Amino acid sequence: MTFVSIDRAEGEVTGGSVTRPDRPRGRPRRRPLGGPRWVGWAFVLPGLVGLVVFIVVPQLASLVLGFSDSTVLGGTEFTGWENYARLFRDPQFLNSVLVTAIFVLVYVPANIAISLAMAMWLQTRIAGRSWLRVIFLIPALSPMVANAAVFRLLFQQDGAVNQALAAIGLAPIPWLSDGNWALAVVIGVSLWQSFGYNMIVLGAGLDSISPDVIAASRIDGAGRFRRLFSITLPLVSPALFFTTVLTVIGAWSTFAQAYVITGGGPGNSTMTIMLYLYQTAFSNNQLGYASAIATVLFVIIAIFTLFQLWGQKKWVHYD
Amino acid sequence: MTDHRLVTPGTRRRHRGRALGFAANTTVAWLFALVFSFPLIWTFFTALKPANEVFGAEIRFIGSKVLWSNFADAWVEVDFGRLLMNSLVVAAVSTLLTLLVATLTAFAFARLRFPGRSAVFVLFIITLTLPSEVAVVPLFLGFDQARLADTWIALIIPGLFGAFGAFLLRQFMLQIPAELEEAARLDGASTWRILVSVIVPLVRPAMSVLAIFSFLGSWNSFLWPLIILNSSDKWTIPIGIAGFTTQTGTQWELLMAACVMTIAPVVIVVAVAQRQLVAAIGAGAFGGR
Amino acid sequence: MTSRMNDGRSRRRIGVTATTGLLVLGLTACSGTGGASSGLDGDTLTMYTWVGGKADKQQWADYIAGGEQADPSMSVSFSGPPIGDYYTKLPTVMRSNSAPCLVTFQNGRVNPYVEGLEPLDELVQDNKLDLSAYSSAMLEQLSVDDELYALPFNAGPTVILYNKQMFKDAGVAEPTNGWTTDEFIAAAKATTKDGVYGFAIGQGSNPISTLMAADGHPYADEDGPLLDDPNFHDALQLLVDLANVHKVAKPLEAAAGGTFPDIDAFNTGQAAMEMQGLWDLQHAQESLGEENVGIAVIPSENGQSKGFIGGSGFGITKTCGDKQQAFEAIAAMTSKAGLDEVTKSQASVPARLDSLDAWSANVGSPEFTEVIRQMTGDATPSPVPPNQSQLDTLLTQYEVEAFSGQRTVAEVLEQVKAGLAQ
Repeated sequence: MTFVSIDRAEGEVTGGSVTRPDRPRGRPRRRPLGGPRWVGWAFVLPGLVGLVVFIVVPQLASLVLGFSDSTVLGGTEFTGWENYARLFRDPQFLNSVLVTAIFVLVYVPANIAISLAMAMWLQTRIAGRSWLRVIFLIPALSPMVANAAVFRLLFQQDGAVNQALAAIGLAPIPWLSDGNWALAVVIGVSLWQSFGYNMIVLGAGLDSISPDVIAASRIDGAGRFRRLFSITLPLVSPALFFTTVLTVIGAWSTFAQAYVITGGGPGNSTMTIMLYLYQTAFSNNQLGYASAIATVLFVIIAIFTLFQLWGQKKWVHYD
Repeated sequence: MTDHRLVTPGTRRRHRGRALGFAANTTVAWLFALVFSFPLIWTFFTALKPANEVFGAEIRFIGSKVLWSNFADAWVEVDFGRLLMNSLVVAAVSTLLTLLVATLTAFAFARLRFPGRSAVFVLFIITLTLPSEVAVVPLFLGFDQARLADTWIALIIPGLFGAFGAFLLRQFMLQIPAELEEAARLDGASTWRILVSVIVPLVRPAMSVLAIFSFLGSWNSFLWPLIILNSSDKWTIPIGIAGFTTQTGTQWELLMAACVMTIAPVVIVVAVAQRQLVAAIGAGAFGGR
Repeated sequence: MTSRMNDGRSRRRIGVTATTGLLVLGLTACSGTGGASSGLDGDTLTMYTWVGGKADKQQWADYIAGGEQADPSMSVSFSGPPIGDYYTKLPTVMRSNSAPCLVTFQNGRVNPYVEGLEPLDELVQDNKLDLSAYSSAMLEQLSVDDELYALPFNAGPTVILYNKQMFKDAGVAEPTNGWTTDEFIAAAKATTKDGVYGFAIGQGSNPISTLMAADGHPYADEDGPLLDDPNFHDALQLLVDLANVHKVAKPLEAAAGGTFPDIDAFNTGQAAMEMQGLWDLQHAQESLGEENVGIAVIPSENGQSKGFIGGSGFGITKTCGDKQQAFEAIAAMTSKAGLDEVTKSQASVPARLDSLDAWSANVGSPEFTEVIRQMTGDATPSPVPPNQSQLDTLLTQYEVEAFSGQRTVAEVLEQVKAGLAQ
């Protein structure tokens, strides 16, 4: 499925040489296009119908299933809030929320920081800069299954990484035998795979900062850090907002890396919410319970996204 | 971003310093890129090893034999040709249809008025917060009830309607001056005609970006094809790669070879398209301007 | 002007169709059971099974060829996911509208799926099939509540596969049919050198159940695994000790389910021994050379090893459109003629006792046959519990912590127990 993006919720248009509010403010403005109103409906209908049928309805169905004890081979029986009550007593589920929360709290800031740093670095003069961009983007373009296979080979007890450590005299690290290290590996692989995309977007954001602004600040005597915090960051904040929201959503839904590299182990130290959902639905055949998990995940993501949307007014700077 | 300054007496010293800085900067950057690419490099070299040297007491880049034949073996082992064809067709069709749907929808949001538009807009926004994996189970059940499980239709259609495409194109369409449309209107063009002849040509960069993202999203998609497809002749690459684990173990060297064959075309596409990609993202994917 | 009118009409049509589709999907998404009779592609029965690479495809092709040998009118086609995903997808496939007629099960993992399977007892009687020719242990594993649900086709006991060359190089005598656990550990120690381990440990419950069976203790009953049984604890403890105390095996690490680090290690010469079902014999012979692979009984405390029977069977789905034809097909594929034919190209041991001679002739040597006879002749009955796949998933996840020393074996078993109780 494709990436999702968040744009300004209010639907305003800014910037560029033409400013045109697309919602009538105060007295109604003349529409740029005439014609009967249903024309608009005609154009939006395919997308809308598809959205409703394939995205909204399944989400609603998932919500409904969460109130039943549906199994795949058996029938369905309405059980009310029982699944949700069970969720909050389920140590495996609570643990998966903890694991995913740790993942999000470590991965998202690291991702944004690295992407921004790399984007800024690639703004400086480097030979073959556009080729570097391609190289950093490659992992984002290959299937997770492929990446995971390589990383398993590399991080095994006697894999290449530990052998390299031994070569420089360090003790081997139990990458995949120790819960904390395993989670670190999963986070590491995720970072490796995905910062390239964010780097490109932030780079474009940086590119759009007018050089005159930078030059002016230099003339005014602003040092490098001052420039960074007062000029660059605010001007790139729309792009930062975009990437942060996407990255947070993706982080809460982490599945493939955990599934293919560690299977949730050791113990359940890498069992993310999505992986637990998958196991519950397809290994344990408990569809109803799995749907309840899905709903809770949606609520968590919605809370985080709304929080960011609200915070947008505080720190995102639109010109 | 060059700095136009007057050439002063200190300039030559500064230029030499800058040249050294440039060289150092470039070197460090490429070193980092090398370290970063290490897993990919390792993949490539493992793909060339004989089976019993994939794991080993000593770390070696090149095994005792260099087996280019592994690529051929991997190709045959999981019928890679078919996987490739499936992935290509699915991704191409997904991309075209996504472009179509997104264009129509974006046009409606950007340029057309209709009652309830804000409500529909809000609905689209809400769906952006929904991770697609969450709806997998009911979606599967729905297709199954409609007797469409394990079909191309079921594989492709759910991915066509994400709100991302509509938003991206809408962003660009909003920047097109209204005067152009008014002129076309005056000439008697219908709404459809305006979309096709006026709007679309002007948002082509954004459409290329959307095309690339759609293609890549489909190419790498794993969970939905895993759930919805049963027949091995419909598998896409990410699923097929799992086939290197049989009931008698995993053939790692062949798996690596398949990974190389999977990543290579993607790299080529990106290398070719990256300039357009970067330029188009910069021009407003996130609404900075 | 007219173009705008046409736009509207066609758009309205699309709108109506789409809305109807929406309603249909919405209504049906909540309804219950799967489709009507199906599983037939014209006259050909469809079989859903694990299909990874060439080896898997070859195996099924061989079984079908064997069945056609026995019954030329038989017609079966197969498809399926790689083995790591087979059991997770099976229930959804069986429930779907394109459910197959035939399905396959390993090691008697029938229990969770009986709701979707056709009980075979009536068909056996109607077709006058003589069940005594099949391994009784296998028939038991493929039955639930005394109802038979699948006909077994291979019935390999788990054995020790060992690398003869490594044993020779280490000066270790090859295992006898009465060797004890201590002798096994000694052999492993002697062959652990130069970066190679004496033994490769497998994931999940199989190694544990095998070790327990060797001493005559079943690892589970119909309700679930016997996690409180001290023998269960001791078996897992032995595996952990092999890695951490005797240092003859690589400790297990976190890994995705459905991977086989022990097979990988043995077949690439990284370990001198592994505990595996005989279905892997062929692959091992191909990797290490036919002369180089030996099989031995599982070591036991007192030298009198009993077998742990694993193997696979063919089942018929409840939704199959022509169950008689399906039964004839699986009877053909598991007939003497069919299985004899299969032994020409597959090394797994047939589930029919009267095909063992063909197997000895085509695959095994006299020493192999001796091992088989002991393992199958004196097997520990091991019912497969309904939560077998959850057990394997949980064990694979949690046993890693015992190997890393983070938890004791007792704590790991507690965790598994808690997970199963969910």
